Amino acid sequence: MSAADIKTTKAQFADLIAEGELWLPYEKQTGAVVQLTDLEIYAPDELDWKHASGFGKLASYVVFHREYHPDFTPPYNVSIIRLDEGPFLLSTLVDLSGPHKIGMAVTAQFDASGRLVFSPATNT
Amino acid sequence: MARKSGTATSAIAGWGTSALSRAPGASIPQLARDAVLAAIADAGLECSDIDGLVLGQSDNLAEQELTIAFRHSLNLNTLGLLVIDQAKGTTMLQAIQHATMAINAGMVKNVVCVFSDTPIRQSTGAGEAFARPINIMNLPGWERGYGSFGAVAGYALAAAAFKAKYDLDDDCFGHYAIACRKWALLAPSAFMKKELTMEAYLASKYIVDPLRLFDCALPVNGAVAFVVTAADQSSNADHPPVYLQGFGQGHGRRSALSALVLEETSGAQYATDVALGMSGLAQSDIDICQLYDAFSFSGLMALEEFGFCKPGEAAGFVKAGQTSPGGQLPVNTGGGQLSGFYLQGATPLLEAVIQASGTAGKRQAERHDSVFVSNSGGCLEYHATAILSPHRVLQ
Repeated sequence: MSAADIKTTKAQFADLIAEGELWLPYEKQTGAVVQLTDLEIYAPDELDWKHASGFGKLASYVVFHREYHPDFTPPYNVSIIRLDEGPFLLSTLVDLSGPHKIGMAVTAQFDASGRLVFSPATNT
Repeated sequence: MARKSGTATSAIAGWGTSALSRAPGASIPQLARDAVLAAIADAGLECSDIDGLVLGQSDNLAEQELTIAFRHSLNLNTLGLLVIDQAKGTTMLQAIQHATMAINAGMVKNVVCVFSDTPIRQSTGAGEAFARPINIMNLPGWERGYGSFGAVAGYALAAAAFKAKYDLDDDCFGHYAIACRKWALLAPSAFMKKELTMEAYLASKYIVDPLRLFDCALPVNGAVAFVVTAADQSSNADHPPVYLQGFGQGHGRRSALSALVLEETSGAQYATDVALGMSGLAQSDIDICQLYDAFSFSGLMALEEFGFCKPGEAAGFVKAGQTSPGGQLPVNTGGGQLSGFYLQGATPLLEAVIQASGTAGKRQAERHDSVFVSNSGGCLEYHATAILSPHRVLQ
């Protein structure tokens, strides 16, 4: 197998997401969970992947009021989720019918377009 | 060269700007040339005295807009240093740091450092120039998928996490913006000329909640240049030189946003410790701060990360007027990037030089023996610092 055939760790994560699966990387050597922002530090054979619980906490939440692109009509939110396993993710919070604030428990799901999104844990 | 703590090896002998404008006009090299010539004249030097040129390049620019061929637009002799620096918001402090290192190494004597940018163009306003998705996750295309556009997205996410962490009120960023506006009213170079009340602040539209229009920097087209010389060189300028007493950098593993989320630290403290250690000073010795505050939140965060306020206390410090005219720690005395003008790292550096030299007119701070200046970029991931003083030797 040539070097070009080996998927990068970033591509491995992206492919899992594209299949509607949230998996998290762990250092093979220490078993420690790896931040998704740090994936490129690792070669593919240095990581193990484990299925994520899907549970986390809302770590930040902002609402766009300015239209930057026609695909996104304001107002819409962009959120940061700290997963219970440790890694954080930029995503969006769906199902805003109830109260929502930073620190609340959330759970992962995939929306109709295949994006990883989160909703308040109390509503699931 | 061994350096005794508190004895500067380099000075900023002159400084100057091109015309600054909120409308499209002159090109990047034209603006840079105007600023360079103004700075050389301000230093009491001729073009033929200059033997080093450091070009600070905005990351808004296509690469061919400012190249080392720029030197041909100036009547310069053989140069001993010619380089482009580009390190996001930290570019200009890095430029004067690199000039100082080249002087200390004996390569050069008189180095011009210039920054030029034109975020406002015929086809794009300033908002669009900064509206690309910024990298938060380090996963290709990830931010785009959630409509997370603009530098403002990353800063708003950090601001919201900061506000929640310390349970701050909705007007917490407004007090910072108002304090900067008070300084701007005293600064002829500032673009915002009207008093800012809390009512007007709270009535301004959200760009990305919790950040409003008045929480965001005011980009202009223009250039700023500085002449860096050896500290023991005599000056023919109309004003005294400003000495570089300390400088540092700190590029941490985490941006401010990821540091807030993961309860880790960014590189800001490291950059401060190096600069203070070099100068032999502590935060309590600093008379004035000139911070990179492209968003009001970054000014508050900077006061804490650089160690001028304890964690969670910057909002109260600013609200109590301590950073405003008459306060105990004047901050961003030209109005900063919110109310003065935004030319990335050149904005706080220029105001630091003006205050340290005692030439700030109506807004001159009474004590200006040591001025702290910061440059930050990449959602507060990259930091550079410097300490400027009118004294070559600190007592």
